[in-house]
Amino acid sequence: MNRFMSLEEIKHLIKEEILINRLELEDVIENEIDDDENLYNEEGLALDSVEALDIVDGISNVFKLDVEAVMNSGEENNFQTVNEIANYIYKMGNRDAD
Amino acid sequence: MTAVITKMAVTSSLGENEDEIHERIMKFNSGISTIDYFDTDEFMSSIAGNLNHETWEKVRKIAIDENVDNSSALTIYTVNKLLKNTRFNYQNVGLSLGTCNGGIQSMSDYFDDIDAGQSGKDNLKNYPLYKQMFDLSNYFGFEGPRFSFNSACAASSAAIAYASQMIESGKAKTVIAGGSDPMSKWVYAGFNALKTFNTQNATPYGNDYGLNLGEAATFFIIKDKEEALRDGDDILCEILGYGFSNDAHHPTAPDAEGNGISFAIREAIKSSGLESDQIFYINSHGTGTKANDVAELKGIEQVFGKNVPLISSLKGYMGHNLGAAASTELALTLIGLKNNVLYCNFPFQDYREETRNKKIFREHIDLSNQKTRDIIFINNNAAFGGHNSAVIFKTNLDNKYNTENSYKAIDEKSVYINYISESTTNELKNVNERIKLNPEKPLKEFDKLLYQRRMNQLSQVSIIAGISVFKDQTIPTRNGLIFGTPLGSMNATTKYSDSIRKDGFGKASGIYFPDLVVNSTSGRISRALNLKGYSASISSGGNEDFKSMEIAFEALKSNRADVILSGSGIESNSVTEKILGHPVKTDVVMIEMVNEFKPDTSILKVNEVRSYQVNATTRKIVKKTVDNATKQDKTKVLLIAPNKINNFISSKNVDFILEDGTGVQGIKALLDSIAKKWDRVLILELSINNELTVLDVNSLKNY
Repeated sequence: MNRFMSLEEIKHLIKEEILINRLELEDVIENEIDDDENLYNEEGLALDSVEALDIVDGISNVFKLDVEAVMNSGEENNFQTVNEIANYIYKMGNRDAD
Repeated sequence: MTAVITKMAVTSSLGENEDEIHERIMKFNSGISTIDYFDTDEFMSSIAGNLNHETWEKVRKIAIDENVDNSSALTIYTVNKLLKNTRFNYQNVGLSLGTCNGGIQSMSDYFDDIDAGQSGKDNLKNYPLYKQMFDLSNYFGFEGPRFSFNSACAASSAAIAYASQMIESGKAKTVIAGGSDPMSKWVYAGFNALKTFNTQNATPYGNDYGLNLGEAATFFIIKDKEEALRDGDDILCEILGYGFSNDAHHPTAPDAEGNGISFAIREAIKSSGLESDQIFYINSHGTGTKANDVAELKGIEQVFGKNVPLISSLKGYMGHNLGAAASTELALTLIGLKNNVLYCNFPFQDYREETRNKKIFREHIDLSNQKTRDIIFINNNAAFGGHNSAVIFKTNLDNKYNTENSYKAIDEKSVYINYISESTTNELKNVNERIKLNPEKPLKEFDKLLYQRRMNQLSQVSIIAGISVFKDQTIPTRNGLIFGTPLGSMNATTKYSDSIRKDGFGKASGIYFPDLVVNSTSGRISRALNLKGYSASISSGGNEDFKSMEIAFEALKSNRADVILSGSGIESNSVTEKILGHPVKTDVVMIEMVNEFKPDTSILKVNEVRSYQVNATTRKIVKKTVDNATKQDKTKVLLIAPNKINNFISSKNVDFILEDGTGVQGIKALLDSIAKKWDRVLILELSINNELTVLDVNSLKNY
């Protein structure tokens, strides 16, 4: 079975494809999104609950993984940073790739 | 005058017959069932409050025979029941309608046509939300003034409230008011994307949260109490007062503290001349979602403190009927009261922790031995776009109504215009200045802090126009907004539909869904400018600017607000151009209206703003208004009308402007007239659909 993706590749896709392109974060470039910054903080990207749900759809599109059950329970969000999302995808992806 | 409801007609998942509905609710036999008319495999839920097949076939037959959208057909079907055994002159009947998504099925069919290589024009013409009021009056021959509210899930509440305003102001003798929204797969997909569904029967205030959608239409006959008594009508309730507000918070989520809700309820109580302890019951919005129920209860507690009235949500019995939610919930309450019962919440295992309050009652309440025979209750509703509406009703359990307190002592106020603006993506125009804008990112450069990501062009330009007229912020909470738009942001609608066409219904875009509702622009303006007071969003098919002004005028006159921004706008989009049949640029007009004269800023006094339905053949009211006005000295008359009417106006004193369906031409003409320094200006704005609104203003330059 093929290797899934490296953690760095996953982070790049989350930032570029899901956050910047999908959510249309104008004037934000990939380097500006810190791996450990809280995506929902007012000082950061200040994403809202609707955008959080859209990230789940984005992950499903880009990585072909269903993270809905883990990432969202109702209106609560279990992952707050790019690192947390990427680590989970990395684990899930590699588990499926085995 | 006091408005009363004399008759109702319901088409809902609980049935159509009042006895059947009562029996089902008493037995907790809900109308929620499995959807079998579209595929739900891609969704997290497969249930809703569905009309039965037999009813639906009758609705479809009307849609096909009359070539109208299902939403109009459902309205016609229900109003037909409403008019049974009634005798009144349809000429005098006004309409006040509410819908959340109107002809969205026709829009969906249009895109199917396009994808199949066809023009889709027949379907497209049935999409606009205002179409419902034309279809309804064409079918029955109603000739009174018409209003169509699109404030999403609070739309029919706004419609009922405004119907009472139309009666109180004497502008209509009889009004048919209510709401209609059939089920739509597009809308179902949007709520699915927002993960708001309960996969089981919803239980508002219960520990298992989430909502069920539903489909319904419910309409009422509303008239003046004295006339109803004279005519020997059955009276179901009096409409004592209402309050509108906006959360100015978020496109879909309510203000978590319930501030908007408490504002609307407080205004409603104030306008009724009641004290809060006279409210016996609240028929709450109670959708069942985590966000709504807690925030709504907090809002109610802000008003009533520890002594909240009895509260129940009826959505567990039939789902959330969106634009028909408020009207259908009111009908259910009235059916209960006819049977001396207050219906409780749909049964749940246990309270949700945050809403554990015995006043949220779990058993039907028998009112047979109730000492106080007047039951005063509030119908409370909230919506996407932050719109809230609370309406207060009084039902006498012994059907005793008299002419006492028929006349409310309203201290009528004069209404003034302080500022007027027009904005496109290129330029902002005020009375005294013109400011160039960056057409690529107008708001972002004009006021970066008010811009939000993915903000559509209509919202951006509307906020710019709004900022430039909003200069009187002395009492911040009683500032309101009435905004009209024929079609809302069609760019957002298109983006949402593209997400479905590209990736399927299960992947409908949750970030564009909130802008599918036409009132979202109004919500975004309210949020940007912190307008939390009297708030409504309307469509009328070509004179939205003056229609909005009329609603603002009536609100300010009866002291429901201190400042109201009133405006309208249209967005450049290829589908919009197809509907209107000509190129369209994004264009927004906005005015600031107040009910205190300000010597430094007030430029016009508003004498009257009034809507009429014009008889297409005689056009009598147009001719009469123009003839009267042209006889007066120093009065300038402007007529905005479709080309066909031009030849019948002979007077040289009338300037003619060709009507283009954008709904912004009236205020643009008003703005242009300021420079000409007329003493009095009368502008008639007539749409292609024979909808006329007349604005009559006096210049204050000599004061």
